[in-house]
Amino acid sequence: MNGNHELVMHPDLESYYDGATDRARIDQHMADCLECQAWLADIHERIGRFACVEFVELVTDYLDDSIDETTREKIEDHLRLCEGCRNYVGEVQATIATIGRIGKALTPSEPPEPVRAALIAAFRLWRRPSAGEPPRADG
Amino acid sequence: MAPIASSGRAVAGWTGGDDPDHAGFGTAPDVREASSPNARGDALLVDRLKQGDEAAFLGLVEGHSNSLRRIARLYVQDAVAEEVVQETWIAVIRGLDRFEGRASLRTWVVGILINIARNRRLHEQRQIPFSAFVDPAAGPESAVSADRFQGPDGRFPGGWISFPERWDEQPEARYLSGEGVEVAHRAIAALPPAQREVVTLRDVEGWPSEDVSEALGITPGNQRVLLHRGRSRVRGTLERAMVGTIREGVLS
Repeated sequence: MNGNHELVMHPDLESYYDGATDRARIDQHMADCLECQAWLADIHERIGRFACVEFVELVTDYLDDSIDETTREKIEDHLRLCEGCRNYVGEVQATIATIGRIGKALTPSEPPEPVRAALIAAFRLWRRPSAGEPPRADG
Repeated sequence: MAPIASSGRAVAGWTGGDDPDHAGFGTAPDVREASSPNARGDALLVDRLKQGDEAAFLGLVEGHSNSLRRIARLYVQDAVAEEVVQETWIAVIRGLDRFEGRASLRTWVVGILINIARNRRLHEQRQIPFSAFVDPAAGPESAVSADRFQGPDGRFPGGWISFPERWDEQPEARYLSGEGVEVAHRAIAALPPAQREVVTLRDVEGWPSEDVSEALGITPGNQRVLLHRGRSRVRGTLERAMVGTIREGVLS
């Protein structure tokens, strides 16, 4: 992307399919680099092992940490290679954060005074000190 | 549990903790910190209640009424929800001696509320459209429409045709604004009832998964499926609201 030194360094092929990646430049490098050709072939193999359509069904279990280690590794390998699924995780997290604001957005209100009074009366009736059990020894 | 390096953000083990004063009972939605640290506090509070401590009771009522009202509204109309909350407190007062501390006090109280609310719903059905009680999502349903993915003949079968747009990276977190919150609220209201229950307890109230399973009387697996479907639907609705056009991806 910048500086000639990158011409002699291997590009980061894990981000090859990211939207911002300059693939034409990388392809130029790869034309003469057998190592990178093999690396990209390996990346294609890894992408083929686990599809995005599978990931979107596992995202909830992934975020809840309720998946086995093998599946977690498969998912994290996929996320390294797939900007689309990284975006998707970001959207799901944003969705959760948005939902988390609903409670605060609703107008809070205290129970009206007559309700409070009625509840206190009920509490006194049912839980007057003599009606209660002795406190637990362990506190 | 390591963050994904290339995404520049931790995606694993998300705890919902971006919102410090999250509505609810003050418990972070993190399964690892769920019931146990509060068990001692619960036991102390229950003892005070059993001894007739009115201040403790009022504190309980005032601290939890908004959350209880939101949950009651899952089942009944607003005016009835208020009555359901009151009935719940009466049942709590009368049933305190039966509280064993097996679940958290909050889970126990909400379990009582849900029972009362479900029974009231049976009597209020005439006021609510029948369709609200039919779960149209009995069969399998996908988190994302199948036409967003490449077919078997695509370059990467099952891969995105075009990447999801980063509406969550829009300036000033537009999705967290009143507009986004309103869209999410309506989307939850439109969910099938079982999904609405789970999404409300998990993501509106911020409960850990095992408390949700306990209060609703469902298995952990069922809880996960319902949460997944419900969240996926809400995400889809937010995406449609937040994204004008979806850019062409590079995997196609």
